[in-house]
Amino acid sequence: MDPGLLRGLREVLGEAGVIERRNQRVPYECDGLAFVRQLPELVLLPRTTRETAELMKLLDEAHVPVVARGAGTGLSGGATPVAGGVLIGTSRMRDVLEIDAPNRFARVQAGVVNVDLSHAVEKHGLFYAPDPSSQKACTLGGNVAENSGGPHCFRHGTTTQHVLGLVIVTPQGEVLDLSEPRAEPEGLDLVGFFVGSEGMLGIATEISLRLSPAPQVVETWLALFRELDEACDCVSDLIAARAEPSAIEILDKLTIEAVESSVLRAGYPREAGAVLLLELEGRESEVAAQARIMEPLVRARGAFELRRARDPGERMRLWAGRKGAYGAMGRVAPDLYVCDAVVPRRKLRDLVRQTTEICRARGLKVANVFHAGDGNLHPNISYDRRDPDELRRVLEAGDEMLKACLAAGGSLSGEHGIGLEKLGAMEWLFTREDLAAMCRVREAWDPDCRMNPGKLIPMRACMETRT
Amino acid sequence: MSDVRQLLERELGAARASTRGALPLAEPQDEAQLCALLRLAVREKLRVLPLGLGPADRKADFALSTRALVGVVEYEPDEGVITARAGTTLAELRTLTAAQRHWLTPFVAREEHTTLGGAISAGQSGLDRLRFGPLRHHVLGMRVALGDGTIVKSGGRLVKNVTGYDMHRLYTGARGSLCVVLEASLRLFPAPRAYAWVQSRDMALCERGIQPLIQALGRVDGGWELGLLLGGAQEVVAEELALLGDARALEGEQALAAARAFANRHTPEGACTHLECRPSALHEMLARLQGGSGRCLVLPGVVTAECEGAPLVAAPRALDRRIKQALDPHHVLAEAW
Repeated sequence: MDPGLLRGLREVLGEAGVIERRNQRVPYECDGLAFVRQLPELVLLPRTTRETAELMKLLDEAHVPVVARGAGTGLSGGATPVAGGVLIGTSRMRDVLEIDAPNRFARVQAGVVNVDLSHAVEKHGLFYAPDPSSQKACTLGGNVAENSGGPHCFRHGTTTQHVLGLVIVTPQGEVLDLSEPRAEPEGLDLVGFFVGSEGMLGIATEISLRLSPAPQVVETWLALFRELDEACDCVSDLIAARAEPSAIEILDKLTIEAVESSVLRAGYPREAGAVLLLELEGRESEVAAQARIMEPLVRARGAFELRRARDPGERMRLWAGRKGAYGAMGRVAPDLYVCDAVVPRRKLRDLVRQTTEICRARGLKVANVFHAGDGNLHPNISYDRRDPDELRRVLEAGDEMLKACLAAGGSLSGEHGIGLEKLGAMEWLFTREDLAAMCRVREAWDPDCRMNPGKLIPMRACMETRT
Repeated sequence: MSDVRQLLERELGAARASTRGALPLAEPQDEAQLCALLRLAVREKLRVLPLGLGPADRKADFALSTRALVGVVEYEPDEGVITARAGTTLAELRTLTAAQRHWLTPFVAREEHTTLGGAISAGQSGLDRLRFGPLRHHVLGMRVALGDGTIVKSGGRLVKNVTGYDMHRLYTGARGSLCVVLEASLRLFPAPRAYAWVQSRDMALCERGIQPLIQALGRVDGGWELGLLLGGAQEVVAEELALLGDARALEGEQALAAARAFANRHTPEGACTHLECRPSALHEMLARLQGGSGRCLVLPGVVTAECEGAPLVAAPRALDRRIKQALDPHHVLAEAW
């Protein structure tokens, strides 16, 4: 790294904000896509928008590639550093800047952890709805970059529906202040476009987020099935019946076993082949009406038990078990490949069968725990990345599962993003022209393609827009 | 007859070329014709104003209506997503989806004169935005023609999807300045089993803890009238009516008809100004607008008021211009701002 640039960066950030020592950079070499690693040249930890803008200016002048990172919990390699580039972490931007309860919004710094926002606004009877499984660790800035989902997005919508404004530091180090919460954008919807752009357009340093009123009544229900097929069909039935729970999740047998054998033991019955986890919320009358729609459908599909969580304690345990399922899978094998694909909701059973078969045919252990109501599959493969042949089979199964989902009218990612993981698959879904249009807009924001280069859009498509 | 009109007639035949307002109007019958017209515009250096059934309200060499591109491309009622061509009216889509117990958002005025492509390009949110939020949250994917006639897609027909950039978020509300919408997919919502319509001069009814499907204010002589469409399970609606006191209500189909009439009565038709206001500043905003004349519709967060002459619009940001340049380098499509 150029000594002049280093000196400049230290002047902006102070000693604590510039991480140069190799052993201190190692924790940043990958995100949740752990089999791809790249050591960043330098890690920078700004505290404010102003600091971020100043360092981005210096990096722009020096033509250094930049990757932004929240908590590194992403699963598609969105925060994997690039060779010769720096990594900008938001871990020192942890302030909740404003809570406006009457107008139901909050302004936070990008490094605020997802669940901390809900805690901060609880006393106003409000909460922040998107709840990724990693919500105890992941940052809101990372959620913005990936347009993160979560179980309750079935009813409340994904991150993009909750972002009212942003302060964006552009790749050139300019501050684009779009933080005023707006009902309708002025000009083009830059905020909406930025959400989910996987860190390739700039860095969001401040976020204005919509807060939702806490529902009067929340009920969590468990429906137990002998077979995964039955649980899947039941979800398709619920959608077809226009039922409106706030979350519809499925956990299969292997997942239940892993959760119940772990410290997160939640009381999921081990005798079930699959559990349907449903949440109902609203006013009492509304919840009662929902339950009346749900019950006969669940029974008709052969559930051998349907019960409601007895108290808030049991509710919390059930959800902690669901959200901790990935961690619990650590009991099965050292590594977990969390696949993410989305399919039409009327085809759940077929696709879950197909993906399971694809893994079995390759001798891989797969567990399903997923956002069934949104058609968002997560076949999770347990493996050991030190075994190169197993890793090869895992990746091959990942590709085959995506192809099966595409063939059924599905798509490559419901919530984890494309990143590095699914870069090649983009060409299965999009034409050269589709990708070129995306690439041209990217270049309108970042003409040198220095922000998170090599992610989301296959390089070939980008080259073609320049010729 | 203008040269441009003659060019259009040569391209489409006399029946498909006419005028709207001061502009020659082309109504291509399919996507191939539409893209050929855009390529013609590139060659002849003509500026095109894309529209649906609305007025030609900006400068251009000709207007291009997608009115003739009609029909549903895919509607699987048990999926909750509908994909239709740009010229299909919201009224047609509403009839079709209501029969399958779906609620289509946005609920806007004069839906029989509003095309899907037009509503999306205008970024038009409905009177139901309190419950469902803005239209742009529910556009799941699009196929569009760029200024040079290239057809591109983004998103899909799935309720949840983060594959690639959300190009359709840029196109929604871009007023045709980035592309011509050919086809779009919308998320649908379960239709309530029961409805009730309450109309009142008592603004305090909004603060009774109800969660209506529609909450809107329309300007009337000397003040405002409030329209509330309640929707949900029978007992939920009954409970909300009780919370509203002895408010007189219309129910079922009559309630929906009254909501439509309210939308038509209060939504401005001509040039209008859009204002925004936080809920906490609503009373102040209402006081300021109260004395005015012309139609004025107040939705949660957004106010639309009829105005005389051209509305004031903010100058585009540099980044908006660069995005426009990136997608429409030949400057075929009329500027939005």
